[in-house]
Parts: sequence; C-alpha cells; structure tokens
Amino acid sequence: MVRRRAVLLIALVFMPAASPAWGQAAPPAEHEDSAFDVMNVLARRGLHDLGDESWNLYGQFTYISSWKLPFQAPYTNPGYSLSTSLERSFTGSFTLFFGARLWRGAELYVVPEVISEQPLSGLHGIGGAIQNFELQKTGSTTPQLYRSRTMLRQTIPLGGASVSEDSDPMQLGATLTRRRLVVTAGNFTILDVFDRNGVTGDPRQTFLNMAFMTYAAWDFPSDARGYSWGGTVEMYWDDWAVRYGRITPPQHPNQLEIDFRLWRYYGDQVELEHRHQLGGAPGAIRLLGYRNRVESGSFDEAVAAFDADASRNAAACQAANLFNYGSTNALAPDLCWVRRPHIKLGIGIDLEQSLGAGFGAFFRGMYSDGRTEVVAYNPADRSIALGVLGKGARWRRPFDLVGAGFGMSWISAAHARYLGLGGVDGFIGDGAIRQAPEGIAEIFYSFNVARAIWLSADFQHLWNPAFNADRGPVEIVGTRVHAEF
Amino acid sequence: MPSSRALALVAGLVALTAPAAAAAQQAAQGFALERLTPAPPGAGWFMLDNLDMRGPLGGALAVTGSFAAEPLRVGADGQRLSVVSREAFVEFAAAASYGRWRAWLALDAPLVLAGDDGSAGGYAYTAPHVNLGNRPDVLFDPRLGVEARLIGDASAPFRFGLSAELIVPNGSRADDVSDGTFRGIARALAAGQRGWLEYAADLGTHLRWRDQPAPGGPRGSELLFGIAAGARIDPARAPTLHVVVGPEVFGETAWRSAFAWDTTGLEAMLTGRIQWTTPARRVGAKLGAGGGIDPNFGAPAWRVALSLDVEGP
Repeated sequence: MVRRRAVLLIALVFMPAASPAWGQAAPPAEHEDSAFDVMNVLARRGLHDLGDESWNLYGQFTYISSWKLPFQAPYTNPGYSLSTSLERSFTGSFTLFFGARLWRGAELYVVPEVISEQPLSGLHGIGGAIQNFELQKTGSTTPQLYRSRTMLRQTIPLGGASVSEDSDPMQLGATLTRRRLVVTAGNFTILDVFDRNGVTGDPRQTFLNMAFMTYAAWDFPSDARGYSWGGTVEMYWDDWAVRYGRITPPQHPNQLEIDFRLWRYYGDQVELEHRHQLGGAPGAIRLLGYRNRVESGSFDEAVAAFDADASRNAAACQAANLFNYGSTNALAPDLCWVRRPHIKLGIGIDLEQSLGAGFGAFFRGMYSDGRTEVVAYNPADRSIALGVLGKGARWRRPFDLVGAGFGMSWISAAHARYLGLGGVDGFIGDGAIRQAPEGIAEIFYSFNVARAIWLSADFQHLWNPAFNADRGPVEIVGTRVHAEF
Repeated sequence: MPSSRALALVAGLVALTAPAAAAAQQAAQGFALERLTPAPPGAGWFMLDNLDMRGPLGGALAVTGSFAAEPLRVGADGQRLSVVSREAFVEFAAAASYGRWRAWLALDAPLVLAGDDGSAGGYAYTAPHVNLGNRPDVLFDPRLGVEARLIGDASAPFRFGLSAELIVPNGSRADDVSDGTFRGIARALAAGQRGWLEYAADLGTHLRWRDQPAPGGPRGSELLFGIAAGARIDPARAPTLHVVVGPEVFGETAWRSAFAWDTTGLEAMLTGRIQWTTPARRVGAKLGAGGGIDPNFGAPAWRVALSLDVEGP
C-alpha cells in the first residue's frame, strides 16, 4: 500500500515536468530577492548596496527529525548494522555566513556553525543513502560550535561580457566578467566549488537523503564533518568552466584530525563544466574526476593478510595500537593491518536541466575503483541518482518546493568479499552479506510557512541497506523546519 | 644483617608512602587562559576601543592572530613549570555599527597550545596538546558584545561609552581554552584625540565563576583595566592613509585579592596601525609586540600580534 502511494506521488510530481519549458532551473539554492533576510531588508531601506557589496551576513536554521520504522532482518551485527527497531534521528544546525571584500576581487568568508545531532544506529548500517545529509561523524546531542569554513577567494577578470553575481551566503554581490580566473584557498567543503548542481541546490531546502547531495561514490577527502583545507583554481570562459582542487585528507579514515602534508597525502579533483540552453531552457553538464592519495586499507590486502595469518584479525588491532573501528571480531579481517598510501580513482557525470515552469531535473553517476576503504564520504563504490524538483508556482505557492528522486549505489566485489567475512568499514558491516545494490527513493514537499520559513514532509524508501539483500527494506519518514535570515 | 633489615624497612616505608604522596596531589583543571581579547572590528586599538562609531549602518570584519610565549608558568624560582609554553590563536570577528552603537561577534580558533606536564604547589598539571591538525575546526568561547558611545561624537576630544560582552562556553577545559561556564565582561570606556595624540582607556569587570586555588588558575571575578596612547601621523603625500603608533597597557586582577602578585597580570604592547580610507571602505592593519610587565595570571613572557580589518557600508 505504501509502495503504491509512493509510486502515485512520484508520478504526480513527474507529470508537470513534461509541460512546455520556460523559466529558470529550480529550485533556488540562493536567497530570493524578495526574501526576508538581513541584507534584503537593509537594501530595501537604502542602507546596503546588494549589487556591489563590501560585506554581507546571512544565517540559517534547520531542524530535521527522521523516524526509521521497524523492519525485518535475519541477522544484525550490533554496533555496525542498522537496528531493526523503531528509531528516531535528528539534526539541528544554526549557521552564520560572514563575507567581506578585502580588496578588489578578494573575498573572505567565515562560517561558524552550531550542530546537534543523533544519527540512526550510531551512523552505521547504511551505505550510500544516509537518510539525513546533515549528519556528521563526530556529532553529539550536545550542541557543538565549530568553524565550518574560513576561505579567501580571489577573482581575476579575463574579459568577456558582464554578469551579475547576486548577494548570497558565501557570495558578495558584484559584477563579474564571463571570463575569469577564481582562486580559493583555506578551509571549506569541496562542494562549495565542485558539483554545483543548480537543481539539487542547497540540500537544506531540497532532498534530505545524502544520496542526492552529491555523487554517493565520490570519496572526497575531508574531516569527519565534511570539510577540508586546501585550494582550488577555476577558469570560467563563457559557457565553459574547468576546475582543479587539492584538499587535505583526515589523519585516519573518517576522523576529525587533518593531515596537512598536502605534498604527500591529498585529494585531487578536476571538473569540466559546460552550460547550455536546450529549447531555451538552461542546463549544464559536468564531468568530474578525482584521485586520492591517502593512507587507507585495501579490501583484498586485508583479506589476504587474514588468510595468511589469522592473528591479523579485527580483535587484535587495538592491542597492536592500530586504528580501527572498534570491531572485536577475532574471526574477521580488518583494514587496520594493511593501511598504507593508496591511490583511489573515480570519474563521474552530472547533468542538470530546467524543464520550465519552475521545474528542473538532474542526474549524477560516478564510478570509483572500489579497491580501498572509504576515507571521508560514504562506502559506495559506484552510484547513480536522478530526480525532479520544482517550485509551487503552478498551484500559487511560488516558494513551496516539491521533489522526487531515485538513487542506487553499489560496492565492488572486493569490498563485498571483505564485508562478507565479517569485516567492517567506517559505516557498514553486517557480519555477512548477500551483495545487492542499495536503493533509495525519496519524495518531499516543502511548505513555505512564511517568506523565510519552510516546513517539509519527507518519505524515504531504502532497499538493501548496507548493500545487503538480506536486510530491509527500510522506510523512513522525516520532517524539516528550515529558516533563512 | 640488621642493616639489610633496616634498609628493607626503609625501602618498604618509601614504597608505601610514595604512592600516598602522589595521590595527595590534586589535578589542576584547565581554564580560559587567553587574556588578549581584541577590541571589536573597527575599534582602532588592539585591546582598547576608540569609540568612533559613526554614520549609517556599517559592517566590519577583522582577523587577528596572536602568538604568546609562556602564558602559564607556575612554581617558585628554580622550579618553574611551563604548563603552557606557547600559545597561538586566530580570531575572526564581525561587527555592525549604526550611529553611536556597535555590536560584534568574536570567534577564536586555537592554532597551538603546548607545554610541559609536571607538578607544582601540590598540584599535578597536564599540558594541552593542541594544533590545527588535531583541532581543525574548534572555536573556543565566542564573545558577543554591544557598546554605545554616550558622550561625545565620533571625533570628539573626549568620548565616553559602555560595553558589555557575553562569553559563551565552547571548547575543552583540558585544552586551556574555556572555563566551561558562561562569563561576562562589562566595561566603561573612554577615548579621544587631541591634535596628534590619540588615547583610550577602560575599566571594567570580568564576571567569572571559575575559582581554582591551583597556582596560575583563575580566582573568580576580576577587575580589568587598560590604557593606550599613540601619536597619529597623517602623511601629507597620502591623504587617505593615517598611522598611529603607541603603547597599550592592559591587565587584570582578581577581586578576591586585588593586586596581589599571584592574582594580577599586567601586559604591555607597542602597537602600530595603518589605515587606508576610500569612499567605499576602510582597510586597516595592526601590528603589536610586547609582553608581561607582571608576567603572572596569564600574562605571557612575550607576545606578537597581527590584525587585519575592513569596514564598509
């Protein structure tokens, strides 16, 4: 019954997308000019120039609550599997975005954030489709203040037509040229620069599931919160853009501590972007490749080490003073024995297209080599995600948002073999596995209560959690309150 | 034989009493060690405030870095323990001003805190081990402040105002970056300029609940004081530039035993600042160096600090 309703809702959402194309890609990741936020209010009173800003300040608050309904599973690995019982998870985040222009073309952004969270099953048991993108690996129910970003951006004009950059969080209002070089350095998330899909936009307004935030299989190096240090260079040339970035990995996989030896351990990212008009409607296509050189463990090597010497098991890691995820299974292999510098490679494609009437569609797909463990993002080795989002202009709710998405992710055969022997990685390890792709379908509706406040209802259906056909499916319902100022 | 028995007895007594002596030592707890609380963005001096808020709504952002040597030493001469031998932090602060009002938020991130473990005065000290690698995103004890100029306009020879700050606990006491409790600061401020002379002074109280008898530790609420004076130089060939050079002296003493040597810290810095003003914005850079005149109670042996700020409409 629930499945039937979900299919019906997805069909309803997709139907208007087939209508004639007009307007911009949806939804707005940026603040609307008519929004009730500090800078717009000041500008309307003649106290601030949004078109040529020396500084700006924005803020947001988001509270997400999710309930995982009970589900069936023949076995559970306590501490590493998704619990089969009813569970509630939440995140609450409050962010301030400070921006200042230091000199011509130079922008400094500082973004403090407070977060409080409680994941499902200790953030274990789901692979590429974690139900709430805000969850961090180091979170706690006690609110924590931290500095999410401190970055300097220098824009060097190279000619071409003028374009206006609207005032937004981490974007000072300014007039730029369509040909320009942009250099960013400091502490940021790589998603601030790469994979800027305008349809999926700011996930605090759109899908809750992490599968739709970016490529699930993109293991971009970062600390346990998702932020990195490093630098990026972007070249914009009319409809084309090319980007390169080098960023820091964690000292140990999925931990907060950062390894600053960028000449030794790093993640390199390259992205090529082309923006186009299809039937008068804007869209974009992006190709992204990444190459990580990090201290990580190979699945095949962990299994081979255990086969050669059974004393090199998970339970013995801590006695040997080797980092592991706390597994005490003396009959399972562990990555702790084989961590050394490894190269991890991946390539992906990202499409976005306005469908008109305030609707837009997106697709992402990525293939990673799958030979080594997840270092920073999530355990998927290959992933696809697609969906449609739209504004409610058609039903006279122009600030409402609706979306439906579908995603699927896979792990490599080596990864599955390691998990099947009882191994665990940063997120999953059911003790056994019947390998299958992990799937996610999500629908949501965001109701604009007031100009700056949205209330969302969300439903997620998750197949084969942790890539294991023996467990699930899992249904998760969620709500979100999001405010911008 | 008797001598060996006596030796065994002595050894036994030593063995029995040594752990008891060690157990008698209490562990000294960490606290908010840093005493340099930079003035709000756009406020001129490093520590003191020039109260020159003016005009329509304006914003300012400042980044300040500081390195302090030996900000926490305990013990008597000859047995000094540098619990914190080096400390560096960077502060990001944003301010909004309107007319005679200013409000600001200051966020401090530790870069380095390190020192030596050891014992002194019957307390066992554990040094912090903080660096950017193991604390990549910590912000400690954010400060939220508001101030108003009550007397004088923005360029008057005498200006008087009041300020209040709320300090919210964040960060670990073990890292010596927080008291773990809310704190507050209230100050009376005076500033002005007369010809080439610029000056500022303040007097206030630091409402602090942490009272730790361990040497070097906070002893509850404190009296705060500071004074600064500098020569203003306006280069004739560069009318958009001006430079101020002069000393800033600031300190604190615990109310519970005011101006006692071990509850008072006094620090002086020679500071210089350069400001470049355009119709669109004012950009400033500050450099300061100095150290503890009375290097106790968190005043370091020496310190260097650098600050950059930008103000605009």
